[in-house]
Amino acid sequence: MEFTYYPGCSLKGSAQELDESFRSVSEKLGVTLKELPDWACCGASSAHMVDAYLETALPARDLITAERLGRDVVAPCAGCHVRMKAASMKILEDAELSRQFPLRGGIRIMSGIDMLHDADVIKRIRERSAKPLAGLKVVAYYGCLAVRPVEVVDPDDPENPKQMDEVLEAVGAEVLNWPYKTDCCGGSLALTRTDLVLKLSQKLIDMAIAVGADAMVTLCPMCQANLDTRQADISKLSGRNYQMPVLYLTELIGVALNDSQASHWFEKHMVSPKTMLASKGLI
Amino acid sequence: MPQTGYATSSGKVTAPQADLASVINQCYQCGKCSAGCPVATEMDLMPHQMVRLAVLGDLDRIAASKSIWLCLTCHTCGARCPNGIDVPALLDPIRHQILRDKMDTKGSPVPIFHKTFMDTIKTFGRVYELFLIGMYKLRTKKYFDDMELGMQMFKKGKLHLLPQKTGSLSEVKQVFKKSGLK
Repeated sequence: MEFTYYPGCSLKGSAQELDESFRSVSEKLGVTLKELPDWACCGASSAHMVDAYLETALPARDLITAERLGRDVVAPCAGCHVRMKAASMKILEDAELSRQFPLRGGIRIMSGIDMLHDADVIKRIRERSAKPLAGLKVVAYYGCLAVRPVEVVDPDDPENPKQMDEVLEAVGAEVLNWPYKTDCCGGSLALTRTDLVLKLSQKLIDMAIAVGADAMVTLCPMCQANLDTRQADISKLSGRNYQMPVLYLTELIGVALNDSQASHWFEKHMVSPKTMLASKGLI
Repeated sequence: MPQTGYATSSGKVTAPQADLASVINQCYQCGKCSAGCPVATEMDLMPHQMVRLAVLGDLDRIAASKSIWLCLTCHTCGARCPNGIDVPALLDPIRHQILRDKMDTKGSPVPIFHKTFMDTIKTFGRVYELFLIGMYKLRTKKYFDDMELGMQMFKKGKLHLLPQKTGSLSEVKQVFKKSGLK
């Protein structure tokens, strides 16, 4: 199994532990990832806000390269995945854009969860989990871009997605029911209206605590960054000490696969998950 | 100009294109978009009100609102609308025009951030956090926000000292040259 890998900017910066865990876990599962050569930013949450041409042209450049290489492309970042897929759909539907950007739609544009939830891959995850995460209670937090815009992502269920839950169950974690699977953390206003982001993120963490979660699990770098890095501010404002680990799905798969790199990924977190995972006998 | 069924106000902002106009005209004001919007309580115009104004042709009021820069583009409205109306799809072209025509953005830091983000991509091809954050702080004069967090992220190696550039930067610059963003 071989894919073109589009890491995107977050995975090279604030979400390095997602990049590292995604690559490491893929290797252990017999999935070969080949980084897209000379990739540029997909335009993220900004291009579509400022200019219609940039919104399509930036991902188009990388999509054309990926299509030339012929392999399906995996973009673990939920934001990159949406931008690439939306651009591809726009180009294929529009004759004028198709002339400008020669794309045939010959490859699949996959999210991280598309790859990890693939029937063969999830089977390997189940079989190769040397250390099942028994006793670990988690909530799966999908965020916005893993399910929306619905016509772009085409999720299994936009209000109650289950793919991440099922991967977590495959590694033996106890997946809790909770009502905020796809509620927004405020991502696109992270630096501009931090006050609102603190409110929205606190609401999510409060609910995770209320249902008894040991950790929140996501695949979105914007969600993880908001929820992990803002707990110090939320603690200051609320007078309560927030210590909710926010983990990437691939980090937990790594723990289950006994990946020796795992403790290195956890060093990158603002709220360290180490004490919690050690108390469960998982690291 | 595509016909939306009503006269535009002053007509500063262009009416939605015909296909989008035919979708937003299906709105029966159930308010589901506003009920689910995570920032509706902060808005001066709620999502269902913006849709109604668009149907009535008063795009100028949407362009002059605080809401247009508060929308998170989380697409919760679009996912739940019984008539398939996605509010960000209505707002994006209005935001483009506000920036293109240099209309008043009422001191909102949001368009400044997005323009700074795109300047970063134009310069390096990829996000270079220190440039992005530095320029944003200069442009908004918010010099001391998140200093402590920034230091911690730097210590953890999450912010790079040097940019990671796209090799064929000229191709990226070419893309920007063809865009409406100046």
